[in-house]
Amino acid sequence: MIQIENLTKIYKGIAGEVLALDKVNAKINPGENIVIIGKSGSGKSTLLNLLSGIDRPTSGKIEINGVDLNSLSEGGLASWRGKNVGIVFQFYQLLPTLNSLDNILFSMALVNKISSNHRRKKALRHLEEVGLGSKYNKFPNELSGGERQRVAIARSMANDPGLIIADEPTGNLDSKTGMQINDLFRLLNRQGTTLITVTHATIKEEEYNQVFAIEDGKLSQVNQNIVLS
Amino acid sequence: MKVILIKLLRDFRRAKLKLMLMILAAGLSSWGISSMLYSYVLTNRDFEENFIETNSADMALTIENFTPGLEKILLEVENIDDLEIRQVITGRVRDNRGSWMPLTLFIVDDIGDIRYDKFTILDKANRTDGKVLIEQNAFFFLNALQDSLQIQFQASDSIVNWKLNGKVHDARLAPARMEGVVYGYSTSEDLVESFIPVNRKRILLKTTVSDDKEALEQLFEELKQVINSNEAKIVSYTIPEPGKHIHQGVVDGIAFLQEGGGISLAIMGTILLSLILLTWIFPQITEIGVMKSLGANSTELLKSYLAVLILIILIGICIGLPVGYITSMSYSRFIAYFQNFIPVTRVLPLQYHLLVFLLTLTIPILFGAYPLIKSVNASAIDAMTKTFYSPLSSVLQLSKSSLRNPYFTYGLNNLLRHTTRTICTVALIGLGITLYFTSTSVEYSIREDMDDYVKKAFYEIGIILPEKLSSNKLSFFDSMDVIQSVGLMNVVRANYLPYNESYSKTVLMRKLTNNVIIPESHFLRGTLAKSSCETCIYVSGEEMRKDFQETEIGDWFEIKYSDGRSQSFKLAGVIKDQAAIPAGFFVYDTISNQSIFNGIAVELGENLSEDDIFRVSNQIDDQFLDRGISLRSRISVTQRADSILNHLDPTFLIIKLMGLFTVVLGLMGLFIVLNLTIEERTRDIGIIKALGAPFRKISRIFILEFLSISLVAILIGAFVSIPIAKKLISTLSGTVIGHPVLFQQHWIVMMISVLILCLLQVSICMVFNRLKMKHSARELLDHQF
Repeated sequence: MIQIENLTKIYKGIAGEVLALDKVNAKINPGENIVIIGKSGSGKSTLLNLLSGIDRPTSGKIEINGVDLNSLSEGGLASWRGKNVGIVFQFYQLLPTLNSLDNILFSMALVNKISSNHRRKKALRHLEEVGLGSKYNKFPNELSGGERQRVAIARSMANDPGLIIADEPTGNLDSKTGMQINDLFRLLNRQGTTLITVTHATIKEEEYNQVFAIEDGKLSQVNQNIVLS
Repeated sequence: MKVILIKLLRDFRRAKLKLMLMILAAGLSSWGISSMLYSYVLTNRDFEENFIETNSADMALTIENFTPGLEKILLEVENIDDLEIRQVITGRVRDNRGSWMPLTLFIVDDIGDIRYDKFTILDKANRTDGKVLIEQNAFFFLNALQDSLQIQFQASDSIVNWKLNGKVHDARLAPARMEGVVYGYSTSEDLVESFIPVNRKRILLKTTVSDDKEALEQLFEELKQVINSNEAKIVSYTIPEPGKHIHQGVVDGIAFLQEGGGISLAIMGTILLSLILLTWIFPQITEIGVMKSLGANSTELLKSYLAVLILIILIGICIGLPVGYITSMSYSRFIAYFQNFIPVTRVLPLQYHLLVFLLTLTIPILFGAYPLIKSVNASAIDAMTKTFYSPLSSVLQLSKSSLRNPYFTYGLNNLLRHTTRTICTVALIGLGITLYFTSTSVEYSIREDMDDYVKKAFYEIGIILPEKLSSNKLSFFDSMDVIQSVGLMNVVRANYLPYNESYSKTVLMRKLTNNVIIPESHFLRGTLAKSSCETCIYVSGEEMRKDFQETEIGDWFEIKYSDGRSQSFKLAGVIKDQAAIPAGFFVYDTISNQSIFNGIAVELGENLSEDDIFRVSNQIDDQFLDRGISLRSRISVTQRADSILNHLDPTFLIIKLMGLFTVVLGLMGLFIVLNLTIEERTRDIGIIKALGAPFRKISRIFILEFLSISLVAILIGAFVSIPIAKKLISTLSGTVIGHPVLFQQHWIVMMISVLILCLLQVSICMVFNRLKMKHSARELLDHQF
């Protein structure tokens, strides 16, 4: 269960303060497939950053499975994130000096949730699942944009997280690859993983349990509690 | 180009610290290069003007039964150009503390008409009653204002009071302060007649075959025949090796040190400059890509960046060059002190300064231009995405198959991604470690070697008498309780031709009676012959060890005595004997204990303190003095060890400072590299943090990476320092290296040093990581702080 209460984020810059999120409230049940839609600069990525704990709110509260993220230290937050959240960044954020397989193994080694004897086998399986089994030894600069994104998705699955947060996962991909990625996410969701995706693209509402729209930092619900077939 | 140049200069407003570090590195680099070049030029000039140009004699002969007629005959011998008679008298002189010091007095016909081995009269009193001019360096021991010196000559029982007539400077003599000997000049004919046999003369010869060793040896044989046929006899002879100063060994050691230090400083400075240049250029790579996509071509960019680089190096030169000149002046004065030279103070000609300037400008540009060219030549898209570097694929294949730990893989791949920087960093730290280990090892090993020698010496006091004495005149030793045994010997001069050298060397040969036993522990090669062996010869001292390193034990070689006789010996061993001054040969001769001797080796009882040895030495002096005998030399092993160490103290200080300086420089380099690495890996840190790594795990990754670099650098530094330390120890001390260098012996000490260095490194790494870690993963990913 994810509970968001009065979540506000203000960025302080040279030009002054920018209100990125304005008292956002939401409730997400375990295993749901959620999408947040909005234009560029609306606050989508800020919300995902706060949900994944890679940034801190100015005020308000996020509670995930009974854990108040505000109560965790920077180190505690990192450990919690590693064990519970898989993140897919818009620009992949793969480590350039590690090949596909090592990027996944590295993530596993950091968190130490998966037994070291099973890591390699499991990482290769994830790469197979995203269709990159044969490219396990390729470095990020040797892969196409879609392939990099698929490695990033495989990495997000590395530690069997209960929640996967994806920031514009298909934003930089062609439509065919985008569809493949969406299929992959749906598969993960069917296996019980809570999925939160943000996008500025057109979506099929029926594919999601809840659809949120965000504009000028304000979150509104478009539909809710749809039971997916 | 102008637009790009202005942009680059403006960029420095945002990177003041980097600019300062770049100027500092450029300054260090020019300091290193200029100090090395200037030192070379200045010391060579001192040597040329003080030594080479003093018109040295080609040969010196001491002739018994010399007659004025023989002088004319010798001048008629073919290849003899000129000769000058110069006598030498030894004795002792009372110093300003009231103690006696050895005195060597050169007697010349006319002090104003010296033709060979010229010396300078610095200060002459022109007293009609003045009898002696003293070499300027000895005034450290003598009161400059005193006008009368108490002198006792070897051949006389009485003490004379001689008026001092002034100061001379003879650059061919070792400095009195280092040798503990007072040198002087006099012209008194009365003196010669009173204290030296009138018919014994020492003559200096100038020939027309100065540079031809074989011709000189041949000429000597010819002269020997001429002199013998005129009923005279050569008592001793020397053919000095041209261009070699008496302290050449010490000077060579310091020169090696200075050259090594200068080169290290220059390399460290240029590496530092390259590294700092990388820190400057890395954040601009994207901008280079943007400028290229906007139409700037590689040549324009390269020119602009090079212009900035040259500007920075020029500012660095403005700081480094004068400092280098001052350093070199101090160095040349230091060398001049060792060589008893008066340093030349004339300003160097302009062409030397221009040459030094050009080299200090060119070398850093050659090093610094590499990262510039690499970045500027990248394609626009590669520069914008910073992907033009790629890991070495072959090594990566190896890492994939052998490294199962992703931390190691990540660290190794990062090091390989920036191969140039990794090599520079290893070189920088390695160089610092090399000099640090060398500096700590050199002093330690020499001191340990001396201590060890003093403890194991097979005789504590060595004495050389002015003339041969019958052993019954030495019976007073029996009454001295602390003396355990007395070994008697005959000391003669002997010449040998060192391996691969064209000039023979003159050393002392000690002919020992059979009761002088050289302990097995003193043999570096070979052993003491089990039974009497008249043809067996032993060599001692570091210089002779080197001269005979190619000679196998049992090989025969020829030595030539001062009177021209030759004898063949077989090498039986190389022994360690620091107290044998100068180094020389030992042979066991068939001389009975009742014969006459001019050398004594005194072995004292166990557990005597330095004070006890000093007291016994004085008692021995007094006993000889009571019998009217003034010793030519008397030295204990402790004194010998102290003397060597005193000679080396200033050098030790220089080495220590150099070692400390290079470690500081190395750490400074490390500081820059860490700063750069962490700065450019901010996004990586953000990703790792976003993936769930807390601070300690991220720190561990970076620490592991830098420790692996350090480990490689430490290993390289440690191994490289062994031969350097050995070379330096042997050159500086002139003694046999009995002890291995420090860390070969004391692993714990060196491990602690290494641990301290690593801890320093880890601390630096932690501080930098901590600074980054205070930012959130999002800030790190966006690089927005």
